[in-house]
Amino acid sequence: MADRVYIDADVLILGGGTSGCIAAWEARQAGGDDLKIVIMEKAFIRHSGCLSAGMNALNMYINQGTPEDYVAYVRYDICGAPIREDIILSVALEVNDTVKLMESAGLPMKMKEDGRYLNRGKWNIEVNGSLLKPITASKAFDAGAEIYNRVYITELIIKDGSCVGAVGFGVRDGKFYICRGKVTLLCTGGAAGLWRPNNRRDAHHRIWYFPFNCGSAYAMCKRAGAEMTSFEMRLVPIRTKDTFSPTGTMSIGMGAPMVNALGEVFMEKDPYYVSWGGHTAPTPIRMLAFQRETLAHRGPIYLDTTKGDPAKVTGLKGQYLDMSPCIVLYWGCNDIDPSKEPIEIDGGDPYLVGAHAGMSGAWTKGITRETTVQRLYVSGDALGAAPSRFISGSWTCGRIAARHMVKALKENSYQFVDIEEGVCDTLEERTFGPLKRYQEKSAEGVWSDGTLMTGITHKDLESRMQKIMEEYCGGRTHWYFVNETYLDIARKHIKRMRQDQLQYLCVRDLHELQLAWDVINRLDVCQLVIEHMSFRKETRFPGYVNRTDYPEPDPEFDCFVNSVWEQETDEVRCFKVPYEQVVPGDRKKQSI
Amino acid sequence: MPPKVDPTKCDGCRGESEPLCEQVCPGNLMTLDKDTMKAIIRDKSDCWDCMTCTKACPRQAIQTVLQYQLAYFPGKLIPLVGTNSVTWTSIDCHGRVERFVMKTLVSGDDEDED
Amino acid sequence: MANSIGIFVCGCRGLVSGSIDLPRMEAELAKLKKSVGARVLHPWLCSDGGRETIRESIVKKSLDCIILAGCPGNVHGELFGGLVNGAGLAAEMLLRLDIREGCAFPHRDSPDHSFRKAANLIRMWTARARLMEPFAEIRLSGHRDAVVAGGGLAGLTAALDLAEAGIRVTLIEKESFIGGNVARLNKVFPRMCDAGCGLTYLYNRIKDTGRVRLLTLSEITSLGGRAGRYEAGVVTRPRYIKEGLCSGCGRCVKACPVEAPDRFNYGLGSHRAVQAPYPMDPAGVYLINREYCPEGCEACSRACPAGAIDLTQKALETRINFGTMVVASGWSPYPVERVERFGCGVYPDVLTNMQMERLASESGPTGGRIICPGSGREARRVVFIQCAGSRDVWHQSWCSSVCCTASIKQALYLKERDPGCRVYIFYNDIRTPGDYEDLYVRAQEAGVVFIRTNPAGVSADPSGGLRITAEDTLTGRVIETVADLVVLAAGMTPAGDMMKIIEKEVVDRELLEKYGLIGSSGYHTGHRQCFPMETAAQGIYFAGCAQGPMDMGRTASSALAASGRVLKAAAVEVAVSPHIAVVDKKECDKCKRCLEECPYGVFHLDGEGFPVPDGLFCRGCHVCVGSCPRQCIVPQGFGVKQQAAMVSARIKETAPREPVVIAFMCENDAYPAALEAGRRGLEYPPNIHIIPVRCIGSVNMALIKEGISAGLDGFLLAGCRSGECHYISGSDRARERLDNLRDTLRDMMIEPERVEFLSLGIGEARIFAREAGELVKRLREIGPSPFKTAIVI
Repeated sequence: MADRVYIDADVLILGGGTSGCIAAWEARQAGGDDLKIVIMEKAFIRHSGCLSAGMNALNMYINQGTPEDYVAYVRYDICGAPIREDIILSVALEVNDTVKLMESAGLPMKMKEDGRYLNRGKWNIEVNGSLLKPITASKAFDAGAEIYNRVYITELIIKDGSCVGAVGFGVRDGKFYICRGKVTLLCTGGAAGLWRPNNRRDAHHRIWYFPFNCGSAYAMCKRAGAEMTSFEMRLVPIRTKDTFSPTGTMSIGMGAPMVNALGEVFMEKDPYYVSWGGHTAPTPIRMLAFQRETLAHRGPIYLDTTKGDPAKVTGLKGQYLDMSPCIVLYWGCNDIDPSKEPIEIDGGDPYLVGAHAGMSGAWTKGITRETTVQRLYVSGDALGAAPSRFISGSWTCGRIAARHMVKALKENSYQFVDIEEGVCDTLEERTFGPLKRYQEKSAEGVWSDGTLMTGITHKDLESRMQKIMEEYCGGRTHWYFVNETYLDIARKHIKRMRQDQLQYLCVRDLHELQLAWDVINRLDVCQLVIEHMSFRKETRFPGYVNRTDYPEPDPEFDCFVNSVWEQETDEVRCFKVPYEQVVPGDRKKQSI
Repeated sequence: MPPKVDPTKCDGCRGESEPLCEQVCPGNLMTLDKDTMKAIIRDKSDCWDCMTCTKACPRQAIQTVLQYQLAYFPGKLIPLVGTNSVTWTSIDCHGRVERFVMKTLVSGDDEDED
Repeated sequence: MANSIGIFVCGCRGLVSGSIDLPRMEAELAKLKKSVGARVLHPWLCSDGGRETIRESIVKKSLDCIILAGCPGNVHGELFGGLVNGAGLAAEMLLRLDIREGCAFPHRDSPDHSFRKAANLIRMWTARARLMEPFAEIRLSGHRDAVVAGGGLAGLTAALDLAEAGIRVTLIEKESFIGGNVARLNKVFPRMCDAGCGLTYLYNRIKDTGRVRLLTLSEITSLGGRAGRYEAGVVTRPRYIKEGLCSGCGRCVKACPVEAPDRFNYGLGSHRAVQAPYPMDPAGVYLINREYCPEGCEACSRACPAGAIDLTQKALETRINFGTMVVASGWSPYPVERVERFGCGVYPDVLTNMQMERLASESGPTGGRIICPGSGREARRVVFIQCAGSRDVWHQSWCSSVCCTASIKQALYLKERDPGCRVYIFYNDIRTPGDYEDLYVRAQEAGVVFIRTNPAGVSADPSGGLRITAEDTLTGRVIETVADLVVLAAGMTPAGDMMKIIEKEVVDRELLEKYGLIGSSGYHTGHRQCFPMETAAQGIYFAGCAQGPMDMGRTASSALAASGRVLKAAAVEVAVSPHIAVVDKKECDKCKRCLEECPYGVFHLDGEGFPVPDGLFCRGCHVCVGSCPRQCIVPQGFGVKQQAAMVSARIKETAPREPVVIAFMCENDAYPAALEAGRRGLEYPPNIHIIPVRCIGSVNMALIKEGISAGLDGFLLAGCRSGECHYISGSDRARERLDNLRDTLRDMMIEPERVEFLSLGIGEARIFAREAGELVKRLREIGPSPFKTAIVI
């Protein structure tokens, strides 16, 4: 048995990232000095997660118009599909205030001569965000939160329909952590690594999204029986080829248009794209256009930086250095000069994110951020059906969640709930399972290459999972196409892996145990994705999911697809939830 | 773009365990080789290239190098982190140098006129 | 954060204003807006009128920080300090800026450059002032538990001193008796009194305090932890006799079949394996030297009527936590049998000087009669051979400092008992420092014969005596003489393993050697002039012969000096220096570099794994501040934050296209050299902007990197010469960090020559002026920093 660490928190925050840190700060503001706030962080809070490389812009800021205009924009940007407008609106109402807060924490803003923030396009502002994560973390420190670094949370503890805590293991100390929370915020990010990445071997993590985000929030919510939403609405990114760096710096920042090999600005040429707004067409439409142009053998596709604002080309590399420095090295090594030649782009492996241009996540009650499991709240990428919140919106979401948590905590006088030893023992066994199995199974024989005769590694499992998802669940090499037959095969294999193969998963050390849990979580998320895709028998997000058997949108599916996992049968039960329009107007148009 | 550790510069942070790069790596990838007392990467293919270790290393012993499948030899990109700013020096494969300076943190005390 | 800064620029009655155009300065001062409450140009600030101007401004404009630009800080220190204090400001809120020796004097021939440099300096100091805050007093609870290792004269002296001051002391003695070698002396020079009386006095007083836990038969076997938080493993050997039951009847001794050498008498004679307590045994109980017992023998046990013997007793292992330790582990006589030609161990009548003490002692094996152990005769011809194994590269290179006087003392024992006794002292050089010379004269007068020689050998003489062959090096004559007894002056060699344990667990021997904290003898001497009593492990102080060979007088003084060091950190509450290192845990990434780079080992890890310095031992050198990659060691007053503000205060060229250089200079040696250069009017280029720092090792490389970002052209780090740093390794650390940075600059295709380290002695003003000139010349050749034209994002 591992050494145990018992932690009690009034507010338990799982994930010290963009929303978690600010949630801690807001919880302190709302809850006062006596509140015990604890953050459990898988890595090291000052440098962890998506923000670890920095970020050069905040993509949600109300530069102009009203918060309602932002909602209209978000709705439009995913082709008018249903979104939780109430949630987006709640964020838009206070995002500017949050940005001010972060400026006062030391974030270097870029200013225009009129004293306003330097905007990039309609809704973005530029920052010098290379220390965005440390600055974000400083708010958690300011809040006096108790921070546990290098603890990997593996499971929520659910009792009588309420979340009463979580357990995990110390990645460095190997201890078993048992945390009780009166309220719990789950914000451990989205999911990468479900599908096969474009680059192989030593570059397999050269992807857009943070590769160590494995969808643990989705998986744990699912296993907790929470209602999940929109797992068919994955994000398929178009990014710079090879490095998969963000493209907004070029497309929005300097207005570089997409062009094909013939030099055609196809977004402004094809009437279908023009009808969606040309260059600024919704993200899935731009993805679709990229796919169609390539499939029509007019690739490669570029962002034509030579046609962009020349004044901004000089600063382009510098801006990337604040966010994705590797592309500057890539250009240097490959003799690419963005001022003289267009930059090739490519479609990457799909991701599940809730706060970017995807909307997978947990379903929440009203704008409270509380899931259908009582006392369990979600924020950031874990929050579903409310896309395009980005960093500034995730900060803000953390604040909103924290306020509702503190309010609920006080109103309901939540108390700590005792967790029986037996429950802890079971969870501990499950948590350390792969590590323990290695010790047991190594006695049964080891091959000369060091692998077990009766076990498989996390890498084996990951490759298998990625291959299945790639080939049967609409990966990049299949141009994101799926149909029911493909999905059936994917369903069969993912089920097999989850139900039968995990018992062979063995790892040698704590680092590998972390990776093993990444795969376990990913497999659960795969199950959600497959069932959701299969349930939505239409194509609502062309470019993201192309159903060859149902290639058109179906009015019957103008709704959310939600699901609940039934533990007894291991079935994901999907159902429709109606969409409520809060901000009036044409859903397929921006209001400003 | 995995980090490469220059053993002549790395001093293992002089500590007994967990040098700075190991503390900060978001992917839990850096660790200390107990034999040489130098930092090593557990699995270079797992790196996301956030360059946190490269920027954090007080000895500038870590360089981030692109995988050869993606980029030619021998371009370099070197950050130098000050208290409130960072400089980047990009040296392409032909030795051409570009330099960048950017703010990292506002401490709010440079308001004097020039 | 200062919100209302007063900038006062002094003309120094023409000394400054003669070369710096003060009226022109007004416009420069006007540019400094944020948090500046007063800008005053004055011809003579230390005059009555000038001082009144300052006082009035402070009061009327509620100034909270003062910059006084004029003479150097060491001039009129008390005058201005008293002035701001009187006006209600803390002394540290007065920032002195030297624009006289540092600007007007050395650059008097280029007034325009001098003016621009002064303007830059004022700008830098203003940026620093904005981040200044008055010191908070730091009070820490002292370390109330101390360990004294060794119960000899030094240990007892230190233990008493500490216990009387209220400290809880654990006194650890490896023998069954206290007093060590001193307890076994017959007489003590120069007063020729009894050694036992002083020891008994000390021990009685120690008992009175009730604060000393005495562990005899005990040894420290391991040591861990760091300054202020040590833990020792102590092994206590059993007596095999139950103290409460033994009545001391002695039947066990009669029953015991084996002999064991008498340790108290240095092996002269023997007793049974079970023995009566030696003199000075505080327990006063019999004990068994188990290593001599025949296997399975239980004779003593069977003989004991009280059932007091327990042959199954086990050694007791305890762990002791303590803050400070006095190492008084003393000395052993050099094993002179290794000097084979003197025949010790071969001929029973060749004795060591300590055996001679026992022979002469009334409590000794012969009741004080000088009987030769081998021949059984009363000794009438005695030869003393000095430096037996001492000052000898094959044995001990050092002089044990007491043996000459000791042999003279013993010669006098002989002469006083039997004036007809022939006594010869064969010596290399007689060393009787100070008034010990009186004893030397007394011995000569008593007829002791002194012969300068290093004898060739001792052999058996057919007469039954010993034959000594030697060459009198003064006359060149070969001497052959026969003696009843030969006494070898065995030098002192460190006793026990304490030094080895400390070097293994707490400090790095290499470091001690590199910085001269350890003598060629291997003794932990510490820095003898600047920081005596101390080596790199703070909280561990050496006393008595563990520190080096010394006589009893010096031993007692050394013990008191060591206890003084302990007491410094032992008050119930200690007001420590405001400059001690403080770790900002919010910013710390736990890399532990400070732990390793602190020259004094004062950092330890707290429960959460954060490094924390023990403020009681922190010297405030700030070498950790320089080492920290997170810049999160933030002492009060002048740290990285303030220095960064100075570096990025937009320092301008002193003339078009002239390189801008920042020089960080150690305030102990290098900065005084620069001041001296100014005072002597030695010219050096005005491009150099000097920031004095506590130690050059306190300069964090992030400052240089920040300066590089700001487009500055060159940097000079000037510190003490290696090995002369007041903070042991600070200067070497700085050089090492800089070498590393230069490598990176080379990688970045920046000329490493832009960053230079300069070692300066305090008197090397001329070298400073020359090197500063050379640096600027080189920088002109290299051209402006490429970061001046970098793309700013």
